[in-house]
Amino acid sequence: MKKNETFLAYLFILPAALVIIVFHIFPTVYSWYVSLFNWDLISPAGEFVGLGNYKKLFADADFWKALLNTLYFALGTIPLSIACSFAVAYGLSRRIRGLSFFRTVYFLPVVTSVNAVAMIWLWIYHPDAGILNWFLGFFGVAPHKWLLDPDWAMPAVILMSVWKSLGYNIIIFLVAILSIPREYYEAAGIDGASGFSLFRHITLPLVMPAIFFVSLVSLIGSFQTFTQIYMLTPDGGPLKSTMVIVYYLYQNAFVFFKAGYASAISFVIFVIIFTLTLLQNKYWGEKIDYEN
Amino acid sequence: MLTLLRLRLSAGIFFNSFLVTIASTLLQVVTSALAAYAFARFKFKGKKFLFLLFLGTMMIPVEVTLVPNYLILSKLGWIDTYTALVIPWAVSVFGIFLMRQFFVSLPAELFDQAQIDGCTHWQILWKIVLPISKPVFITVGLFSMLGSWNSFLWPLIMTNSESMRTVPVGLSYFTLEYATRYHLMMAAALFATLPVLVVYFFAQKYFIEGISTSGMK
Amino acid sequence: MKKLILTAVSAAFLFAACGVAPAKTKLTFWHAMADPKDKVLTGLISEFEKQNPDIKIVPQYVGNYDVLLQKLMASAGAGNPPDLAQVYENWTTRFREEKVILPVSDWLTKEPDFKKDLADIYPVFIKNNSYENKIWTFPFNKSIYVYYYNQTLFKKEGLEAPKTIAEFLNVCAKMTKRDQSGKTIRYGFGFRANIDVFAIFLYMNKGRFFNEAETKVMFNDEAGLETMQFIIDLVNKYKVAYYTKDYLDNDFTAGRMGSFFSTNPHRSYLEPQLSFSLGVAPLPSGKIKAAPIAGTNIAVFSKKNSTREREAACWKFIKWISNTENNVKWAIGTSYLPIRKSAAASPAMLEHLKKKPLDLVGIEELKTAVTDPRVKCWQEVRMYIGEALEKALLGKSTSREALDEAAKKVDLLLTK
Repeated sequence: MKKNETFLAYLFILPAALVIIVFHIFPTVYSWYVSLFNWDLISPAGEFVGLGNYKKLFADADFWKALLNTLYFALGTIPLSIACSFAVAYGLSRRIRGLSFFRTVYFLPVVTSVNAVAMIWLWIYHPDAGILNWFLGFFGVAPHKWLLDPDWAMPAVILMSVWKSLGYNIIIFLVAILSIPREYYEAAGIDGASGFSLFRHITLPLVMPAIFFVSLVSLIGSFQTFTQIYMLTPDGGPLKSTMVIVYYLYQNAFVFFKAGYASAISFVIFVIIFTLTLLQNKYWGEKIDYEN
Repeated sequence: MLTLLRLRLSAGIFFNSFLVTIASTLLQVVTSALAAYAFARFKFKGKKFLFLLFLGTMMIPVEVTLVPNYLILSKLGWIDTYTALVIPWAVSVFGIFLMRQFFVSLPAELFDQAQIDGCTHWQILWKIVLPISKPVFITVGLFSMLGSWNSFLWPLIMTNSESMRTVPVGLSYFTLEYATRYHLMMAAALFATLPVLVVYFFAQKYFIEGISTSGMK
Repeated sequence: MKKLILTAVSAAFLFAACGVAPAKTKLTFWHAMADPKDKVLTGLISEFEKQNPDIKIVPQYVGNYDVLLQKLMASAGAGNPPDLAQVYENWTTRFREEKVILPVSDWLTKEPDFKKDLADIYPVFIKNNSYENKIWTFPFNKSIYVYYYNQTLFKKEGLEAPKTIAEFLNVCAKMTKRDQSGKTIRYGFGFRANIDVFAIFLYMNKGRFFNEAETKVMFNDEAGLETMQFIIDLVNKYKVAYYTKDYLDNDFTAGRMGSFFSTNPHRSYLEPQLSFSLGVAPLPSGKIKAAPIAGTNIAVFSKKNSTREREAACWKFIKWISNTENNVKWAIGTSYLPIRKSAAASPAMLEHLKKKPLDLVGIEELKTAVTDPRVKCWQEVRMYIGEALEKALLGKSTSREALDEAAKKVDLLLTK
């Protein structure tokens, strides 16, 4: 019976496993192998260089810049997105009327494709025709070339990413806030706690796990970010200011055709993402009893 | 209509996107349900390891494996076919996770009774679990649709001919050689997004449920 | 439902796989000719197929040139390239080394009158497609950089298109307008911050990117330095030019900018959108007159299990599309340069030039044509120079520092 069950389990998992092994695991492992070569994609065989690509990578200023840019992107996006979405979620949780309307509006960017969204933001940031400069003009702010300025290109990308991710985070926070039992607040209210102190001592601690979850998911997301960078700043931004790690990988693989070197970058990305996923899984794992 | 043609967003491109989206969504729902059932109901060796492996590998951005995957698809002779757009994306780890959560929450008596009645696991999944898990199936399906419809870099690299082109790829071709026409670009973005918006307005409850579940339960 | 989808999917496969008549030689041709140029191309192809019923050409627009290169690299690496494709010269350098393409010389030299025929083609194109005395690829959609200006505004200001670089500077200054607050409302000149503008000014300043053998960097010599400083001064010192990374069309059309450099086919895109009359002139001359060539050539890709029929058909198509009659049709339809002297002198062409006299500027400029380097690492060079330009423009480093840094990086690539 037990043996039969194991067999059946594997059979049920087989279709999913097959796809994952052939199109996700094997290519990943294969790219580790490629990272040991100098290879331009079209020559039949590359030149074996051992760990040479990794040595070069760790001495490559652009690689560190890309990592740093990715962290900048993460640190710019995550706290801002959490603060905004939490504030909105908190507001929505107070005034339930119209809740679904606002939820719909905030969630719209989440379902829209990055390509389409980026087209709209390209227009928003346009120096002459853009709505941002037009809007700032009312406050006497001189028009600015947002995506051409090395100091502003990344904030511009960050703002768009925050806008896009807002809806997802709002819903997670909203669920977290609404799932706090009313009695907690009532009990605290009797003890004379004020609005802010209620928030500080009840809401915030109980929503902390959700904040942690969102941070982790967004951090993983930062190491996957590519399309919005590519759409807004196709060349990696002024003075490479928006060149995040996946962009650097793309450039090496598909513009310079250094497949080996790009694979070394992809290995680093893999290690980072896998570590973060393990962390995330630990969080999920606490809620999943594997043994049923 | 003329602008649409100029945008290279012909009916054929929409047909391709619909076909690929529907096919991969159905496959994703089926493979996810099967795997989720196994992870939820069976005891077997390597369960935790497999679950972790699934989770970890699907987090890898598509750019990382694009080159090896191109070589694999070439070896299989799948370049520039619908197969290349559907089969490699026939799995959703998010779907497996979500469905597993739901299946675990179902009362154990349900399964015991079914087994006593002589149902096989296959029958239990499709005849008993599916009808009472409709919301989660819909949620997984919707997220699969979204991912599939919006997928860009994969179809860009894996297809060549116009007859295989999908909507986001067509959209990207819109940046012309000499100029960006913002009003046309907006129109194109809207057209490309319209189907998603329609689905979203009718089914937003399920999207929101899906996100809530992944974050909180 | 599942069954339905399965049927739909398999029907689609059949649909994709069919449509090949058995005895025909089928050739795929990957190109980057966006609308409306692709229509001219497909028109020519269907004419070719009528005249050659045994050959079918399948043109595929695979995206812009960046995507085209990505796909060529990937497909050639996987052993499944198209039969024909547009390629830049620096791509040819790599493809030739990796034996991905076949030299067209192999068929060309078997043609009876080939020497006379080659003499009809502008020498710059032959030279640029030749490696070690063999012609590898065939010139196709060639263009040349010209000077575009707002003729209506120029007339109003009493200006003419500049003939020399000194006049250019003067014209830029006169065209630049500021409002009372000192804000510039119109610039004399605009450019995209990448290697192209640097290359144009470098060539006319008698500078080169590399030595003749393309083994040593030269772009940071005195000529290069002067060039870089000139561009920086246009923006930061004289304040008569601005730069962007976006396309320049919108600003030019709106009258926010008076002139810019672009390739000659741009004329046919631009003209219909303008509310003023467009001027096209040769590039101003610096120390010398020099106009860079742009555009691609057709290459024949080598394939496993290739047959003589396939290769012969490829050559037949190239020969056909570049003969005088069809080259004229192509040049008139797209405003690309004729590649043949006989095409430029043909009655149909002369008739066209009477109607579109601006297209003559590019053809005349062929006398002073120069070509970009053909180094394999040109993509990287483009990026490094673009970066250097940006750094100097933003004042993050001096022209010399920026160019020296780029030169160091490129030298490293060349020695490999």
